[in-house]
Amino acid sequence: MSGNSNKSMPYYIKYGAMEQMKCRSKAAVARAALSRSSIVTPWRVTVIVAFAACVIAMLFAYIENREHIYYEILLRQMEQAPEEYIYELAADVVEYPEEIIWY
Amino acid sequence: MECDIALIIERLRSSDDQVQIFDWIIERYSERLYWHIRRIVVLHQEAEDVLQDTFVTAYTSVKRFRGVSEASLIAWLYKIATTVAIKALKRRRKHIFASLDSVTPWLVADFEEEISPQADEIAIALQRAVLELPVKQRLVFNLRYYDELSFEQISAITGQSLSTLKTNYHYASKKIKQRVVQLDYEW
Repeated sequence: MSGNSNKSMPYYIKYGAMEQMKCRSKAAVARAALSRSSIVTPWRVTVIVAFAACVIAMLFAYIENREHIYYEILLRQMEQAPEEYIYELAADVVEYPEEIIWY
Repeated sequence: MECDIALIIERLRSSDDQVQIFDWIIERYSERLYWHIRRIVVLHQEAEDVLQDTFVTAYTSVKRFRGVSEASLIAWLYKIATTVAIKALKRRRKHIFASLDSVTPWLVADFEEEISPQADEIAIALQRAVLELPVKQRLVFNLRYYDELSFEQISAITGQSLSTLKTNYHYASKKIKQRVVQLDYEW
């Protein structure tokens, strides 16, 4: 392959700029090497943040719906429960006035 | 680090001292890559940024390099530099659907501000004419005329067929001749 031509280029370039560019390019590659060898990479951070967001969303949804889930379980128990326990179970579902004494 | 290029390429793929190898690559190829990029993006600051991105991209994707010769290494670096430079040009378009050639007037205007006071009049006229070419023709002309690459090497860089490249180069040369003659310069 032929080398770069020595045809004159009419662009202005500051004296010493080429050496500065080489230094900056070397520094940029060194930084890339550091970030590649690091445990904390942008890709890993993205995955961890996305996973944490999913977990938080699931927890939030669970907390929001926890009471409904609890009542559904109680209602199912009521459907299957013997007659004598119905009132006992119903006490957990419905808030009765305090003055009513069950036992 | 003066040594056999084949050995360098071998070490590039396998060794742990890739950063040192890249220091050598940067020393050896920065200048020609810089001028190639500068001829595409015109502005010095942008050319510098593109040059840095080129080496970082090359470093991060070095495992994909399959070449065994210096020619293939140079073609690979030119290919990355061209891709990054074209991306930089695309960012200068008014909107994403605008043609890449729509940035030509700005490039010509930028060039007027970037002319060296010591620049040769013929070189200035030639560069003005080159900047007025469509991007594809300009790229082929630059790689062939300034970088003195063969059409096979240019094909490896641009991904275009040899016949397309030769046609583009033919039209580019013709347009430049006409433009330079218009400007009363001898070709």
